[in-house]
Amino acid sequence: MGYSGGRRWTRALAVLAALSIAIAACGSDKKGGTTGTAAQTTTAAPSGSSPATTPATTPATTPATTGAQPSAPTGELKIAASMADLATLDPPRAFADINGLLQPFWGEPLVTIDPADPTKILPALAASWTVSGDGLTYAFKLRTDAKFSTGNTMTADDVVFSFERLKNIQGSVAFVLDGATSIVATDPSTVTITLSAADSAFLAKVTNSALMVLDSTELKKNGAVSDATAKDADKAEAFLNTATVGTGPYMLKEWKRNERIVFDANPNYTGANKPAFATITVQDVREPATQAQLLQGGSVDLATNIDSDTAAGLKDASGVKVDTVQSVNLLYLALNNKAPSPFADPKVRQAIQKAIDYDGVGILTGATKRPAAVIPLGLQGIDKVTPVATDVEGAKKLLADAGLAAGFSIDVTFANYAPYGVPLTTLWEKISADLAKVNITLNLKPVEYDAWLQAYRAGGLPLTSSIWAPDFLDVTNYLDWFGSPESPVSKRVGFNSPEAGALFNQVKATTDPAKREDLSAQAATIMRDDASLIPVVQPNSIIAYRTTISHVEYSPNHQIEITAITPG
Amino acid sequence: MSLLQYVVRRFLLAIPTIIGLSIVTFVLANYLPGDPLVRLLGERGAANPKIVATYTKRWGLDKSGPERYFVYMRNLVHGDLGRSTTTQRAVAKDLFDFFPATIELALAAIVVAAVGGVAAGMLAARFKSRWPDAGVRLLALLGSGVPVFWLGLLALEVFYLRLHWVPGPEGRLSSSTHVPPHTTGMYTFDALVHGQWATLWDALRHLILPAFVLGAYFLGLIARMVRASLLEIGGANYLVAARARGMSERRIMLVHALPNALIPVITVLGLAVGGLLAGAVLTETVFAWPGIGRYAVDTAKGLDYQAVLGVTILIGVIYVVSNVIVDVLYATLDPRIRIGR
Repeated sequence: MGYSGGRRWTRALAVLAALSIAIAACGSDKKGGTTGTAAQTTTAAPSGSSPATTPATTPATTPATTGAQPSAPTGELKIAASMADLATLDPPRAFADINGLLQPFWGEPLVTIDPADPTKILPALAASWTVSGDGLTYAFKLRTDAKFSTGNTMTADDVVFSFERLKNIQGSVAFVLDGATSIVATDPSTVTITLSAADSAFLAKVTNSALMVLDSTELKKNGAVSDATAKDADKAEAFLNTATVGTGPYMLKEWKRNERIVFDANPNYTGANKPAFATITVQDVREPATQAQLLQGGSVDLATNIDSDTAAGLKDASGVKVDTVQSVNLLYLALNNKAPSPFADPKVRQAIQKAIDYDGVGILTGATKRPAAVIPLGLQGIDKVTPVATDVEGAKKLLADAGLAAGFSIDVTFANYAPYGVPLTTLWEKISADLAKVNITLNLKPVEYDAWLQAYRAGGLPLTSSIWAPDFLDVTNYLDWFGSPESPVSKRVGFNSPEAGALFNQVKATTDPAKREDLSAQAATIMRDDASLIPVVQPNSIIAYRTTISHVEYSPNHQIEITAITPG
Repeated sequence: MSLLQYVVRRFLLAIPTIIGLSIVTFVLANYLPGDPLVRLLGERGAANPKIVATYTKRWGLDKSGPERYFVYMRNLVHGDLGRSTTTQRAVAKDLFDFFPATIELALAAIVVAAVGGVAAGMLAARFKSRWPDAGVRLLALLGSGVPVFWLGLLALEVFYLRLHWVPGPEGRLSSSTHVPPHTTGMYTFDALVHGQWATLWDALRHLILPAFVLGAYFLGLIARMVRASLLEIGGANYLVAARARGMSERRIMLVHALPNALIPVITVLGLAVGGLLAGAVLTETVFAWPGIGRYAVDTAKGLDYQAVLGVTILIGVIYVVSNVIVDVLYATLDPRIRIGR
């Protein structure tokens, strides 16, 4: 009896072993059937070669460096970034924030913005450009010395192919070329784009990093199609996920999804923004607290997703610097003025606008500035319009005029999350307390993000909050989305101002900067006084980095201008 | 009933479980509020009818719910798990890429929990009511009481930032270490079979802390169970008999007491598979571990129903299989349990 325990265990182990062998056998059977290609690649790869990073079709990735370079790139820049949204490296198929951060590594657009003044357009791959008097034709004169990381020289044909492909794949970023009726190479170094209607924001749209120019010769070899059939016929995505073929200072070395993406300096780079590091490694780290620890421990040089709570914990960390910069994002309230809402009366909306304690909201969110209307500070005209100040007595008077001195109660359905590090529940509790002073009772109903978005898009919420990050840095993005009677958000909340719509059309047709500012300011004033959409804060962006690197700067369209960073 | 019949029956019973699981997940993923297209395209893209039409067709969202379910199940039978809207590629490829990281972490956690738990439980039972017992009970309480998320951050603060014993939460390898050739996708194993000792060391260094954090709950649980059952059978007749025959205490413990005390631990290990996969979601987030837990979170956020289904079915299958293994082990160890006998 004493040994029965032992024998039972031996038998149990035998059964376990038999079972595991059986399961393993089933597993490998299945593998043979379904993922045969993967298994074959593994076995077919010559021993010692690095796995699955460079397919045979990859163009020469290590061309011999010719001649001595003035300052050869050295060392490694290590970055922690949340890459949950990084689905693809193929520019036409991606339109997430993370793509904006990474695309400038390997690709350059024709023109770019001045990070210090986002309304200023600077040359990039195009050395210069001209716009026809009617605002319909844009001729870009290309740099002739620009080379791809493949070693090929960039020509107008590459621009045409890249742009046509982006337009015809019809990804979410295709809207930037919606108005372009023809994209033609007029000579090897000139591209002419004709628009169906004048669009003074066209250059601002072209600065989008997804409009990078790629090596069309390599693309065509790897299944790329640019004509109208591209949305089904283009097969280059898999190739572009393993090899970047742009003109930027870095080029892809390895992408391990969910893990890290590694770039090497591009030895063929000919632009002004020379690569400073031999390698840039971006680790996929989602949690701000984890990013902060890596930064503190010196495992990364830069953390890109630090929120204000985490930043507070980094204040005293040695060797770490935290910059807080005003972003171009907005957090706004949306008051639905479609009857029978009390907000149908503009006086009630203006009363809400006056009753909010903006200084208090600023303390809560860590950002003190806000624009007068849903157009971020820094863009055309908005800085000239004064925001409505807090005035509780004025709010009470407006409500009395509207016959609502006794107040009313209304539901607030909002997404229960913390955009830009601002928990919306906290924000609404604050606003609720402010509005209680004018006898308005808010019934706060936090719901899941998707449920909220669906209801908001359907225009069914009486009062809610939302955010906006720019698609491109021009006031027309905002007038188009919030200002004109045709705007998606205007329709949702019932903001219907033909005057604002007319001003939008004029801004679109005007290229003169002073005139654009003036027209935009007029539109912003109408939007402010209507008070259907009330921006409460223009949140800050937080950049945390080690003092071992410098030139770390906020970028309104790329989050952080990583290619500008240098060691030391 | 023979053991083989028993095993076959248990596996057959698992099929309706998996089908039920797929229906529930499909319904949840498809009929909860939210539009996967908006998640995929952003508000800007979703406002453009041309782009919406292209994407609706591309992702098969123009078909009705039941139709999509049957298409999904038909493909599933052929081993095709569909395409993820989040990663824009085949779900099978995603699972193939991300699952090894989770298995590696979960296996390491099971080893930590089993070895650590049994050792701690034996220690506590041996020194009952003295300080090692109190220490083990306190640790067990902490291990099974503290949330994984907080434990992870705390462990990093101590072992990474203050003591510098382990690397930071940078994933599975240092950025300077190359990924070993793919055999299983488990870096420690792959580095071992290819003789890449430096890589093995680096992978182990990255694995140890998340494995402890993930395994802590079950380590505590097992320690308490082993302690309790060792004390319970302490006075059993067969132990008294062994002592009477003059056997050493060590031999009594290892040969007679422990094997019997371990039977309930098997059940716990079976449960642990499910618990570890659930805990992996949080551990993977804290340690930037690129496994299936994080993939599940990403895809669920994106209302990516094919990927969510893929993960659910995979985890469901593993859970069912591990339960069957536990039942079979149990039946082998304790013949009284075997049905029909």
